[in-house]
Amino acid sequence: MVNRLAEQPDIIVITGTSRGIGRILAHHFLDRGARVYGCSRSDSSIEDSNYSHAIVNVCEEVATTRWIRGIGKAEGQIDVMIGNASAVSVSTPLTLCSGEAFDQLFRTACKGSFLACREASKIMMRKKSGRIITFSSMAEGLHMPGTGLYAASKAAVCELTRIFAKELAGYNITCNAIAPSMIETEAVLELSEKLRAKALDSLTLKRLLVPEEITGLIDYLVSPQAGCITGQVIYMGLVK
Amino acid sequence: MNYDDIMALMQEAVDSLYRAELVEEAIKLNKGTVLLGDNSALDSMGFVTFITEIEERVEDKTGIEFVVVIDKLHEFNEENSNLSIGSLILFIESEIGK
Repeated sequence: MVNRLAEQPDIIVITGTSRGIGRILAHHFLDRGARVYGCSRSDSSIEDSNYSHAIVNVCEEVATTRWIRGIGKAEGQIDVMIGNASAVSVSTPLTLCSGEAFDQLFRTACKGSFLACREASKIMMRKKSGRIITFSSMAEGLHMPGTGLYAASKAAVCELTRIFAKELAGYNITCNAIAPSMIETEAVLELSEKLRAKALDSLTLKRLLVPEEITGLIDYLVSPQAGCITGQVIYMGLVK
Repeated sequence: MNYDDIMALMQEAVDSLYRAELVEEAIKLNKGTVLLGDNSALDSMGFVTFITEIEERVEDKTGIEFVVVIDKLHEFNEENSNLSIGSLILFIESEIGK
């Protein structure tokens, strides 16, 4: 699959490419000659002839379905689906969280990943090949006060990933989740200084991740050598 | 698309899935063929690939965006414990007729 990267571009779909990890990943795969389809709720500044951007809110079923099916029709395949889109959450104790905040986080992190992976998996099933990677978070492993809704939505992403992995195993499609600790993205910078320091202190590796650590892991997960790795949540920087 | 057109489209779909080795056996469809439920001709993931194939073929033929959501299908077929080809054809006719 991805060992073809040197000869012909693979088809990579990434949600949430306007900033943060999604944007880093889009550039990473573009640099390797892949054809990248990205989406976000806003426009993108990525300029590359191999990049196509769509303004799609991944928690909207019709828009997400239409976008991914369009890619399937245009390319005939999706090799890698990376469900990265997520919402930013400010630190709030659960007792003060609104139902609206709950809906928003679960819609973006959980429903968005579900819809994108559901549609991509249908295209991959026909080719009997594919790699699905979702994004969880260190918050899911740390159980820190103030991160309740965010952590719960990311835990739901892990469970969806495991079950997708079981359901799609017969089609040579692997599904894994990455739970990175802190990388200097806009989402992390929106956390309060105090919460950031506390989060770093609670990590096993008490430092920020560098982008290459995430892209390196993803390169491995999409490689043929990782064909037997599925249904896993890979924590980066912490021991759960 | 009428009933016979949809039946023909479904047969083409299941034949193409068989050729692609996405279903294990060649299936000759008739309106009583069970897709979901007791003695189903397809396993659950075979059903997913079949429905996906149908969605795309209906959309290509009619130009109508067509998405099958299991809740709508159950609602349409709530009096039967099994989903047959006949019921699915009626469902598709009703959806593209909207």
